[in-house]
Amino acid sequence: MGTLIKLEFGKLFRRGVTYVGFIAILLIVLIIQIGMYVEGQKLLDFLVKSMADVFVFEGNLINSYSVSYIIMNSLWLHIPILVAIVAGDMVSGEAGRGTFRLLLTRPVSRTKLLTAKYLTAQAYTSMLVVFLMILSLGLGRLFWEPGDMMVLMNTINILDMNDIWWRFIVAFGYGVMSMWVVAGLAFLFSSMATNSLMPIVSSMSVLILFTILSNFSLGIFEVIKPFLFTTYLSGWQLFFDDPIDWNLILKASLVLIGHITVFYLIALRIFVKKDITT
Amino acid sequence: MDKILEVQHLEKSFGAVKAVRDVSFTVYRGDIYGFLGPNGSGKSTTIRMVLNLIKPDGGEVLLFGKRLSENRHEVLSRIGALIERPDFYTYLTAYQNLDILARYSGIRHQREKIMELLKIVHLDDRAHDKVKTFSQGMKQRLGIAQTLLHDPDLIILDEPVNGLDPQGIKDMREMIVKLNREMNKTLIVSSHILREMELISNRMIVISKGKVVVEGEVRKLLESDNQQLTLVATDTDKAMQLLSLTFPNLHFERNKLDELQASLPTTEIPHVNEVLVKAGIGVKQLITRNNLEDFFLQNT
Repeated sequence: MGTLIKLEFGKLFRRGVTYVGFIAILLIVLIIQIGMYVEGQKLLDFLVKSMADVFVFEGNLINSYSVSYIIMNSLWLHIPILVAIVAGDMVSGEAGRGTFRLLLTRPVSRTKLLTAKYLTAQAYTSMLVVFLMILSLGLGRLFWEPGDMMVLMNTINILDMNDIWWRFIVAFGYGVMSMWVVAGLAFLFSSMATNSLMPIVSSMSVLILFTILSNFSLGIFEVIKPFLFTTYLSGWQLFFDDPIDWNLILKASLVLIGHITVFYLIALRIFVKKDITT
Repeated sequence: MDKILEVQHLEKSFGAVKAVRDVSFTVYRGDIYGFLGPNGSGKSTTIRMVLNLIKPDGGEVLLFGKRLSENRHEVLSRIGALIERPDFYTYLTAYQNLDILARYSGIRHQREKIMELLKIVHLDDRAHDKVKTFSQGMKQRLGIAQTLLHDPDLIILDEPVNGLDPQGIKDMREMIVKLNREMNKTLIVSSHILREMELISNRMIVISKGKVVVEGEVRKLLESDNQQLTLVATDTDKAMQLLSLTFPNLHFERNKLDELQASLPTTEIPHVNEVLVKAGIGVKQLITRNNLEDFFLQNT
């Protein structure tokens, strides 16, 4: 298995498209940081306008932590697209290029090959999110000093600067897990397709549809909401609540892990039974 | 003789289309086994079932005396295959492609072996060039090299001359014969070109519409007793009348090109010519084809 994963990594990182995700994240982070550096105060004034009569804000609320928090919101859509581009190509790309004919006539187990590809896709996904974390927290220090962070959730949470960094670490950890679900979904579609476009478009369509369903507060949608992975994609925000609802985080994590496992098992079943006709 | 491959009653459908119907054949050690059929006849589907790329609906494949379905890993380690187009990772070099494929086969420390194979297929000077810069012929040769990575007993080549120019076809033909004679490999070579198979194979199977048409030794198949005769005479009407009277057991037909055609035993052909010449009817053209060639002219 180790050899197969190494081979998959070797192929992945010799392709230009693999680096598109990293370049895109660099650009996303830089754009947000430069934007916040130039116009951040105006944005903050606008956001706290209604509260200014009640609260007195002291110090600089725009700091490396608060900007990193804003950047983490790219986990909603930008990062999923980048993840889907690579995960969606892992199986369908080989089918489309015809290279499966070369691989699967070798004495290599289909189960092991697909598992190696799945693990490689998930490892790549982890790298993207970790890269996002390093850039957002690291580059942010070039523009701002760290400071207390204000989080507007159901209430206003003011988090002490000494109580924040660990929250970012676990939040990004959760972010990795939530992106594994997206990668798993794209990978599942990839196992059915013979071109890379279908898995990317399909997984993004499901993501958008489920996100809409997750945000509907009407009868039947309330029933299915707890089972949709999109309901928990933004669960990383829970780590910035005070106190942290660990039970909810555990429940969210279990739903996400369940999806990651189920997507893998379905993809495996499809791939093992698949006729290679391309 | 040592059986390398036994295919027994293979069946495969794609939806309502029956692609392969009750196909059976045997390949023996040392064969260059021609797998012939028109495009869409079920050749590639059968070959893919032999390689476990496609799961059969029925029937059995035995390789080296073992069931493929139960010994996939073991039997595939003794087979090299090039199926249809030689599709490689075009962003990698020839060497890198072979290196990756060798590792998938569980072979390590293969640098010398890879360079040796690239030399055999005359690509050693292009070893470190990306495959996207290769011509079709070069890719085909690289395809042959990858089949040899793990020193297999059986090599399966599906349409290896497709897309090649005449020189490329000649090179490929020589390569196949070399693999058989000098490297002692058993080969299955599929093609839709009878002439190619005649030149290199010792045994062959012909399939059409998913069914076996004929199977056996090439020499015997081509030396069939019956021939298809096409004749152009100076006076077609007189020739038709005379031949029908002289050979009442043969059925002569006149086609749109004003040619006379009949299926007849090889031994009768000189007599047909003799009768016409003696009657003062000139024979401008006399063409004979065996039944296999005739089948191919009609179906390819």
